[in-house]
Amino acid sequence: MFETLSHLALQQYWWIIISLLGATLVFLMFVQGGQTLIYTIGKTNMERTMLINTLGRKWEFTFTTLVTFGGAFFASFPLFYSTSFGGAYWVWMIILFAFIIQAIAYEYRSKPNNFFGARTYEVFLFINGLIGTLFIGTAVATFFTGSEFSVNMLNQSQWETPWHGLELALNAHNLSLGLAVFFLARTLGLLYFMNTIDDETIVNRAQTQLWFNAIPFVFFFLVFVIWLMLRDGFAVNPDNGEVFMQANKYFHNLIEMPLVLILFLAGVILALGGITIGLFKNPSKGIWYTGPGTILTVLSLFLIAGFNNTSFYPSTYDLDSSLTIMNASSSHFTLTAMSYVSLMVPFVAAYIWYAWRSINNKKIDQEEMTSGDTHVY
Amino acid sequence: MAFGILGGTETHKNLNADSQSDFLVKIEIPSMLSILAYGDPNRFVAGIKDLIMGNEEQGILSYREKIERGYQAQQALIAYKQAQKENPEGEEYLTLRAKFSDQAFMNDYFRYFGYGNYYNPNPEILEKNAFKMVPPISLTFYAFHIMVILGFYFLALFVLFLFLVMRNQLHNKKWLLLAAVWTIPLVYIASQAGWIVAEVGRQPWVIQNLMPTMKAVTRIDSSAVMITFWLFAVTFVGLFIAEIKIMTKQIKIGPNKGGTK
Repeated sequence: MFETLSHLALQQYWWIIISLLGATLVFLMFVQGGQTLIYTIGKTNMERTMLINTLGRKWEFTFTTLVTFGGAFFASFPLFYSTSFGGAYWVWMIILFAFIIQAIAYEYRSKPNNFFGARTYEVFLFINGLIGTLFIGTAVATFFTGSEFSVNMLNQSQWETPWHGLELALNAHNLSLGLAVFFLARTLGLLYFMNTIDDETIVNRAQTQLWFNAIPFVFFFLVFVIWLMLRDGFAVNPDNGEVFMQANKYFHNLIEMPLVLILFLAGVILALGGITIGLFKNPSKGIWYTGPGTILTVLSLFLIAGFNNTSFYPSTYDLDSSLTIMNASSSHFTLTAMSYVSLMVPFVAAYIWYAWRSINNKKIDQEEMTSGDTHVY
Repeated sequence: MAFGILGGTETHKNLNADSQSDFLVKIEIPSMLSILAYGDPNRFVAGIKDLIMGNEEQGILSYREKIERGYQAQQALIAYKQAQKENPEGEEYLTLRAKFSDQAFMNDYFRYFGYGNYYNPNPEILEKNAFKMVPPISLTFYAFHIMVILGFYFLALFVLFLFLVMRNQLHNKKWLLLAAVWTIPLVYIASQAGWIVAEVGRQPWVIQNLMPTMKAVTRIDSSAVMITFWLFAVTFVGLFIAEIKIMTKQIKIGPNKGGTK
């Protein structure tokens, strides 16, 4: 089945999978956003325990999606993986540490004799929420703004600044996406609290906080998107692989791929609609719109980064070193084999849906936290 | 070779064509390696010198030959990329492109691609480079044997325990129970030794024959590597202490009415 597809078709198929994983990851980072709000929303120990428990039942979904995103990227576009992870070394290392301390924080926080004390583990969760969202958003923005690296004739890449990725955080366009993702994650976190916790005080506080996070999110998102539409993009000549700057490239990509434009507009409308519903109508329903809206919007952004003869990982140091889905991918054989594995994705997705529903079939309340019947983080 | 102690003054760093090291002490199981490698007691098992210097009788190419072939494969790839850039419809490009679908070229040259990184136009240096492509021998040797010996020890211990449990005699053998507790760290040693065999023993390759480690490493300052090391060390020691404290506390609390709910 897959072996009859052309190499390009397989590369496109895998770029769609990567984009979907990235989009799902951004949605699932409501866990990170929620972690930065534990003290803002939770004023008593019981309130904080409820917040941490509703997130604690979901953090593995986000974590495994992040790992799958990285793993799939490694297997399908290895030249990107080696260039970025080896080159933007410090950024990825900081992100890695932010996730190491997250995993153990949930497991150790409420255990007796845990050495650092519950408060430290709560701080770990905050750090993870802040760095995880801000840095991943900033790193993904480089798909549009480029980085300084070179690739030689033998496909060996090398970072060309001694800052190894830290320089990316000084680019205002990158930061606008980082901050947009940060406030989006907080917005989603609040909507998620309002959906899963049965406690009037918490829901009211979350609803008020929604204003303070949704507005900055919309602001930074608009800054990022408008800037993106106006800036020159990294276009590829499909005949010889040459990369050149093209005015308003990403705007053209949206117009030239109407399906992606529809995804993008639908995503934005759903995301904003969900926030509005959360603010004014039914606090527990907002996540059902903003969540899928986030996935569609991020998906369309990934698609305009990689499709329509665009370099998805451009080099500002040497345009010819820029990575495209054509020159950075695995071999035809590898992509074919992996494509068969990808047929299992619907089953995994169905399982996630099932597990999610089982976890969420009853809202969290104070009684459950003290009953001793359930696993408490 | 069941176990042995390596003798001689040569290490992987100063090997040459005349190297002749042997064991100080050894316990051998005849034909064992041939069985492990090929499932057949009578096959030829190449030694280090067979691999480096080649063995015509057994059809083994020398490293020197492989380095030269790998170098040619690399040059072909560079020429291909150059031609693609200059004229993607040109004659030269199409010829070079066809080369990479040619099975003979792929089997005889491209499969030695990584060896090309050891190429040097000076034949003397090239010859020396061939002898550099040997992993640290004693470290790999001892790590492998420690792993295997411990593996057999675990098996024996478990069989003994199973036997005693079935005869209901385990609980009163205090020294045996203590031995079991002290076996726990040995598991970590066995596991680490296994990783040493895998990662040290594979040198100089990260991808056998295609990419040497020296080409795969991230080019960051050694200070960055040290900072990262200490970050990991501090973080994981801290978490390890927390883990141990939590575990010992839970063990002291003990099972709740025959186990947790």
